[in-house]
Amino acid sequence: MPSYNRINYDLRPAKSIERKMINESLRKLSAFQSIESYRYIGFGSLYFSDFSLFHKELNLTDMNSIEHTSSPKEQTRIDFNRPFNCINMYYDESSNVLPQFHWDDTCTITWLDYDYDLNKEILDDIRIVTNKSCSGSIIIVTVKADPPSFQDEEGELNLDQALPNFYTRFKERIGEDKLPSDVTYRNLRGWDFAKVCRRIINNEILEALQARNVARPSTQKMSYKQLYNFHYSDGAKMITVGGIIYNQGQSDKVTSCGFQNLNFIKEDEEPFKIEIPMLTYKELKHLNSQFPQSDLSNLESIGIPKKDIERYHSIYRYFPNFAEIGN
Amino acid sequence: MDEINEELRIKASPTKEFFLYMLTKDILIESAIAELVDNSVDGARAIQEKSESMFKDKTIRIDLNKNQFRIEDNCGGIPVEIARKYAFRFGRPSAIEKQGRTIGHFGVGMKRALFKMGNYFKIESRTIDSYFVVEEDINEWLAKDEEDWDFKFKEVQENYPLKEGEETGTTITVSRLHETVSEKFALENFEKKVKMTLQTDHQISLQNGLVMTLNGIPLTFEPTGLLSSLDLQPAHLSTTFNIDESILNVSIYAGLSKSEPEKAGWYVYCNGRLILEADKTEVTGWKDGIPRFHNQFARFRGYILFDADDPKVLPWNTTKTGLDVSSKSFIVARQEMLNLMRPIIDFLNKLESEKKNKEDDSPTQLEIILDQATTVEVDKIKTEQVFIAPQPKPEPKIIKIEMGKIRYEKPKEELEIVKKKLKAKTYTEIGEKTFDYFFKMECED
Repeated sequence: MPSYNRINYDLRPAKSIERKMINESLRKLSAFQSIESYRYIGFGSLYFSDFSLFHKELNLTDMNSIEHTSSPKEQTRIDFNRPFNCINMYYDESSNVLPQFHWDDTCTITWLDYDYDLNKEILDDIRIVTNKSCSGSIIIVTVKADPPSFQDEEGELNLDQALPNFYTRFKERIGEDKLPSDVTYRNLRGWDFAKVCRRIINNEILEALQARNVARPSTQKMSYKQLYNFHYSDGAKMITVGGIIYNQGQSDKVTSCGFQNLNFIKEDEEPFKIEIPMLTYKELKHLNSQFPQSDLSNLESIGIPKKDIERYHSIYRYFPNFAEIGN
Repeated sequence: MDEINEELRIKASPTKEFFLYMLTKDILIESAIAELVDNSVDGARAIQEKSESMFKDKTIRIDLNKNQFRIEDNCGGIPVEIARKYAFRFGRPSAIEKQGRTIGHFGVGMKRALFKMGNYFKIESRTIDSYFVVEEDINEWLAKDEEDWDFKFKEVQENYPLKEGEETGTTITVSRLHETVSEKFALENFEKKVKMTLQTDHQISLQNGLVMTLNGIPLTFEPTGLLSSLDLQPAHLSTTFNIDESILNVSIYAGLSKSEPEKAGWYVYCNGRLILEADKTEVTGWKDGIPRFHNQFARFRGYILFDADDPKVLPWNTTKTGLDVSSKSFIVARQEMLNLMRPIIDFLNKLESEKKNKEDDSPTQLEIILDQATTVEVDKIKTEQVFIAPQPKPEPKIIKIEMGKIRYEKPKEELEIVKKKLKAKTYTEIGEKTFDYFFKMECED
């Protein structure tokens, strides 16, 4: 079943915040080439939220959406929902579509935005994109990272069964050789599982680059620098990992992009957690009127928990405005 | 040697550069690591008590990262005399007497591995009565006089007994790694591949208690075992051959395990190292009197272990990564493999025909016996024994419910949706589950 039958993409606040953050970071790419000239490859689904945002905000016009459905009925519906005519549709498996693009010197932003668990096919897609992307390109990967709870519904501990089984299944799904040596089923609990997924994704990128680099002179090696490491949950735990692929001869360009000036850019294993504070509309406005703020303890908090204020402060510029629209 | 008139001499000796290039050209970096690990494992095997099948407190630590490779063991060390005369030579002088297992047979493995990895190496070795350090910068060695191929001890002590608390062993460090090697060593995925390869290759040694770590993480093994119960017994044969005046010990285990086509077949080990994995080809007897491999034989497992002090008689190729099919040792042992294999294949054929004669796909009697059998690790099977196959007992009378069959077709797209919803694995299961559902919901009281 396509994921859009399960989730209305527009109503996922954390995802919406992540999208806006990524959008803002992409502006910084102009040190490489003007952002309008970048190509975008994504999985638009039925909502095309990322496509709409990047077209409106960044004026991307070479946009490509991959959908793996072969049903003519679904394709008709997706075509109907395509928000702008600059979006080309590809109805096939991503592993078939991705190699077909003309990659050479076209700087590309590829967002492999899956709503299910990491698997071999995803790793293949990552390898293809890493292998093909030219210097200055962005690769972003989103996967579900939602391990079973350590307790079952009755509150009984699950440790002997559920987690080891999950571990075995996960190992089969990604291939045992992709699971880092030190990872046991104990590393798959809660958000730790997302951390393992991040390593596996980055390892795949690094391995693909290493193979690509064998034939390149030492000053022209391709590198990868992680920029994104989002943890969020609009129900299920999700992780987004990604970064920039560049020629080492151009590392000064990467520096001049100034990605690290953005608070959500994460270059290591420490994630940026998008956590939605529980605040009323009135409270949001009250806090907004006091932001930006370097010292949150100076704030007139009107009884809002400190944690919620901190969470909100880290994301307020990207916070969605939800309102019920009557018609 | 006769004096040659210098005027008549035509130079034909190799340059060091050419030699290094040829030596390292065809070896994978993974095999270079395996070579060095093999040396340590051989060391451990050489010093373990002959009566003892288990390794006692023997540890091999391997560490690799983008800057260096390091392997450290407490497995006996290299005697100074061996280092001085043989261990660093390129090739083995033909006159050398048998040296037991401690030194490799082909005399190129260690050097080839070192040169493959980097431009600098250091070897520190301690035996029960000697100690030495060799440290070489390959670039300096290349720059020396072209006739001078020798290395030099940096430190050397002979007649130097082991002190209280000291251990024998060898530590090898390679640094100034070649660019591509360094790039590979930096990858977690490469680390994992090395770990998996070593775990498979040295499974028997690990099972026998040898401790190995890679970047601090212990290597693990899946015990090699065969199914056994009151009605079922795996075959075991232990024998000795005299090959070219050297003793070759051969141990064969064959029997049944879980039905896994990928794992089925013969496993061949030489001095504890796996050189052929799950083989289902003519090499190990299939299609040669025995039928060709088919999934009905997916329960078959055979393990053959060759052990010899003189590595020359072992049936492996020069890189110790594959079987030398035409070696005398393998030819004689292969006959025994076929003998042990025959009754097991016959039994598996019987199992298959029992299954075919059954109308439903519930487990047959023989399958039930197999499911109830327990796995016995092969090293626990000490006595020679033949394969004993379970015999089917007469079918107990059961009251048969008269059954009917339904067959129908539906669009695949719809079938897939229902399959997912029902968590069904097959279309048959969809049919049964949807029927049961309807019966339960609409027909029961």
